Formats: sequence, C-alpha cells, structure tokens
Amino acid sequence: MTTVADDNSGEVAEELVEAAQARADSKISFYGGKWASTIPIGTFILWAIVQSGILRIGDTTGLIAGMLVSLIFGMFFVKGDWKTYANTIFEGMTQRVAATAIVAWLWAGMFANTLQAGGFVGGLVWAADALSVGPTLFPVVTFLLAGLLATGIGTGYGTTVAFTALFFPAGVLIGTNPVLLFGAILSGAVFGDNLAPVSDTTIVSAVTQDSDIGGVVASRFKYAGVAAVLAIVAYVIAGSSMTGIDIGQEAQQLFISSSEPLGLVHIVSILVVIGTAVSGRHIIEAISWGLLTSIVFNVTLGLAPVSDVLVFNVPRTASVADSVAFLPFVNLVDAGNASVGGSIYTGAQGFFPLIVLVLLIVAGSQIMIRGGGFEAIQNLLLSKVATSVRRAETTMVLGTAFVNSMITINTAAEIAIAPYIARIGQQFNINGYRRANILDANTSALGYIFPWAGGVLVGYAAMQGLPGQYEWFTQSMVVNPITVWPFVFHGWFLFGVFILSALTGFGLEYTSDRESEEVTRV
Amino acid sequence: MSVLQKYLKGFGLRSSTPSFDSGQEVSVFLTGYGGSDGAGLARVGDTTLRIPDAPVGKEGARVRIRVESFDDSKHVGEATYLETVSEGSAF
Repeated sequence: MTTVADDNSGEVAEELVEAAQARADSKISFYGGKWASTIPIGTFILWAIVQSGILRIGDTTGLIAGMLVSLIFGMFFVKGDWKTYANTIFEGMTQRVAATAIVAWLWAGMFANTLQAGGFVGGLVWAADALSVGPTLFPVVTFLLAGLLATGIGTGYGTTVAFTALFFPAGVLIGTNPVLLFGAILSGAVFGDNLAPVSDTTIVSAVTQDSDIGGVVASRFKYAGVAAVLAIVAYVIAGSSMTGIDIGQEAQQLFISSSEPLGLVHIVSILVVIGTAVSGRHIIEAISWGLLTSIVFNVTLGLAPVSDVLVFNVPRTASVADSVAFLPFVNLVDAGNASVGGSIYTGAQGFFPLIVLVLLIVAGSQIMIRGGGFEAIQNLLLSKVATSVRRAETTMVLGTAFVNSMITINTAAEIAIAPYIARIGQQFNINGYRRANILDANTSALGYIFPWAGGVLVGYAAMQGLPGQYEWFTQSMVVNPITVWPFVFHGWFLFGVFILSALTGFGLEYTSDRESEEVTRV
Repeated sequence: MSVLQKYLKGFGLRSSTPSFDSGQEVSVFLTGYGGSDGAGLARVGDTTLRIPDAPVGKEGARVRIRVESFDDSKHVGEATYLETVSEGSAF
C-alpha cells in the first residue's frame, strides 16, 4: 500500500521536475527587462490592495477581474511573439499544486457543510456551554484543535474550510471576537501545514533540500514548539481583552437552548478522516470516507434528512415530476425555482470564484518565472545581501516571505523559491534540515497571513456561506481578509522565531554536523 | 541517533564560525575555488576550509574531506580531499 507521503512526494517530485524545466526553458522577453515580468502579479497586488484594503470590497470575483486585466496589461510589455506569453498562462494554470489545493477546498467544503447540516455547530455550542468554555478560552481551544486536525490530515486549507464553517459560527455565537477567532483558525492551519509529515509543504521542503521527511519533521519541533507556546499565551490574553459582537440576547439564548449534544456524534466523522489520512490513504479518499460517515449519521440519527445533503428541486411541470416525487432527494417546486441543492452542492459551490482566481494567479507567477523576474530578484539577494552566514539565513527567511507575498498558493511559492534556498544555503554549507525548516516554516506561516494568501481567502470564502445558514449570522460578522493578519499569532511567532534564529544562530546546523538520510529522488 | 536526540539536535545557539579538529573527516559542499593555487574552498558558515587537492570543476558537489590543520583565531583550515559524495542538488 502506498502512503500519502509516497503519493504526495511522487506528485511533488514530478511538479519539481517540471518547475526546473520551466526555469531552464525558453524565456519570455519583456520591454523593460526581466523586472517587467513582475507586472501582471504586481498590478494584481495593487488592485487587491485598492479593492479590499482601501475600497473595502471583499468580492473575490472582483479580484478575478483584476487578475484578468493584469494579465492582459502585462502582455503589452512582451517583446516579439505574444504566443509564448499566452502559452505560459496555460502552463501556469495546469500546475498540479493548484489542483491539489482545489481538491482540498472542494472536498473539505462538502464535508464541512454536511457536518453543518447535521447540527455539529449546535453540538459545539452545547459542549462549550456545558464545559464552560467561554469567549475567552474559545480562541485558544480552536487553535489547538485546528492544529491537531491540520497535523492529522496534512492540509491547512481543508482545516481552514472545516473550522470556518463549524467552529467559527459556534464561537461568534458565544461571544468570541470574530477576527481573533478567524486568526486562531488560520494559526492552527499554519501549525499543521508546517509540522504534518503528509503536508505538501513539508514534502516539498524536504525533497528540494535533499533531506528525509522524518528527519525534517523531527528537527522542526523546536521551532514550532516555541512558536506554539507563545501563540497559546497570546490567544488567552487576546481572548480576555477582545470583545465579541452582540448578537442579541434573545437569538443567542434561543440557539444555545436549542443546541443539542447529538450533533457531536460528528466528532466520529472527523476522526474517520484523521484516522484514514494518518493510516496512509490519499486525502480525497480520507475525506470521502468522512463524508459518507457523516451522511449515514445525519440520516440514521435524524440529524438531517437526505434532502439537506443533496436535493433536486424538480419543477412540477416536468413530465416525470410526479413519478419521482417519492424519492427522498427530490423536492417539487414551482417552475421558476428549479435547482440542485444540499450541503454537497453548497459546500463545493462556495469556492468556485476562488478556484478561478487562484488558477489565474499561478498563471501570473509562472510568467514571472519564465520572464526571469524571480531569477533577477534572487540573484540580487544572493550577490548583494547574503555575504555572511547570518545575513544569508536572514535573506532566506525574507526571500521566502517575499515570494509568498507574490504567489497565493503556498506550495507553489515554495516550489518557486526552493532552488534559491538550496543555492544560498549550500554556499555556506547550511544543513539540509535547517534549510528545509526555514523554507517550510515561512511558507506555512505567510501563506495564512497576507490578505490575498490562499489560506485567508479560502476561509473568507467559507465564511460567505454562513449568513445563508444561520438567521442570526449577519454579513457584518464576516471577517474582511485585510483585518485578520495581526491575529494569526502562530504564524507571526513562527516567522519571528526564524528571524531570531537567523540572527542568533539558534538551531543552526552545518552540512558537516550531520548528514540527512537523503530522500529517494523520482 | 536516538529518537530524542533527533528531536533535540541543534537546540541552542550556534557559532557563525564553526571550528574543526585536525584529523576530523566531514562531508561538505565545495563552494568555490580561490587563492593563488586555485585551491578548492568549502565555506562552512563564515569559516573557510581550503582543499588544495580538490578536483577542479566540482563547485556545488558534495565531497568528503579530512581536516589537516585548523586556525581557530582566523577561522580557516586546510583539508585533504577524500571522495566525491554527490554531484550536488538537482534542484
């Protein structure tokens, strides 16, 4: 039986070979030199800042318009035939890492929405009430549980989706500050992406730095542990000082009193996902088993009817309407209201705009790679900044941060910067484990901090569905991605730990200190 | 290495100029060539090991060397080339 790590590392290795090929292959020439290849991504970031930050419009489809305009704008700077530019957009959009993220979002979306339909949020509220976990402790508990789930299933994106759909509304209802709570969820995702042996970012970091996955994970506990302890303290302090939104006593009491413990049976559904993933099954398989378990619980325990999971709203005028009306997943409606619905439908649908956006962004970053923009930035760093081992390590941390600010999918950002981390690190004989840790920690952390980062956007997308789910959840409770960045405590502490490590030599090891058990290359 | 050691290895502050003992055999990346004799160089942190008999054109390769002498005040040492471990990273 192949393990997730085997499957993933095979796929990752393939992707890495393609990335190396892309760097070596024919380039796109721009008027204005290599730096002009950063125009599409640069214009998009500007658009995102203006749209989300200044104009306060949190519309993902608006960002798609921004990325499309940016890609067209960049084309006017291309020298000669524009065909290579156009082909590069295709090449970027078909990268496997983008598909991996999309799969995680869709599956986690279906799963989380089905748990939601089955009253899991009500169960959480009941448990928080029974265990007296008030608004003060809710963020720290959320951070720990999200961290646990993400470490178990290896996808921070999936964890963000599940926790935003489930823990977020429960926490907001009992009076936790929504921005802080969203930050705690993202922190848990950072923790898991960084530490999980089956996480894509962990695998990329190990493979590209010629190190074994087990050794890399073992050697990163010291950094992740320090950051997590600080984050726990920070969430307790912030939880006691930041107030929540007043939902209205009546609505709150009504929800709490109607919350039943039975929804907590879905903890089993979640354990099925963790157990299947940890035992080595692919994440698609793991979440599918969890989904099936949750549907069985919903239907057999009366938590939700089949039509809450999947429903065909058939127009009464349809010729077969009467003959299929008896089916549990068929609902007869007026002619104008025909549709498909249920948790499987809405769970997946919520991510469609984001999926398109992310595909376009990775296309834009591919243009930057092909146009030599990345190379120019890295060479500048290598020759001018990395002149001593301390400065080299600081450059590695900041360079990884910079690339993550340009590429929304953290695994894609990691693949782009990995060769440079290897090059800079080898110039000073920095041990592969150390290089892998610098690479992965900062990729994991910043992929959930920048407001346009995939992790933040996917949580925001999941949040959009909440006002439709709960009467008391208003649009004003949705957290704008631009406001959450200061509260992703684990992410910031992890980044801070690495800045300090680079400056002081904490955890630094040299190639001569020990040899990593080299990973098998595909 | 025990499991615990694997987790704790590297815990602490490390000098930017590591020292080596005479006779110590280590595996390092060859980081360049320099000096009047064009000797191979392995920069380890901000310490430099000179390897006069290193094969030419192997920059970036991982080599096993034996440290022959080391000056702790200048952070430089002389080493002998033993073998090439790998030709360098594919990435």
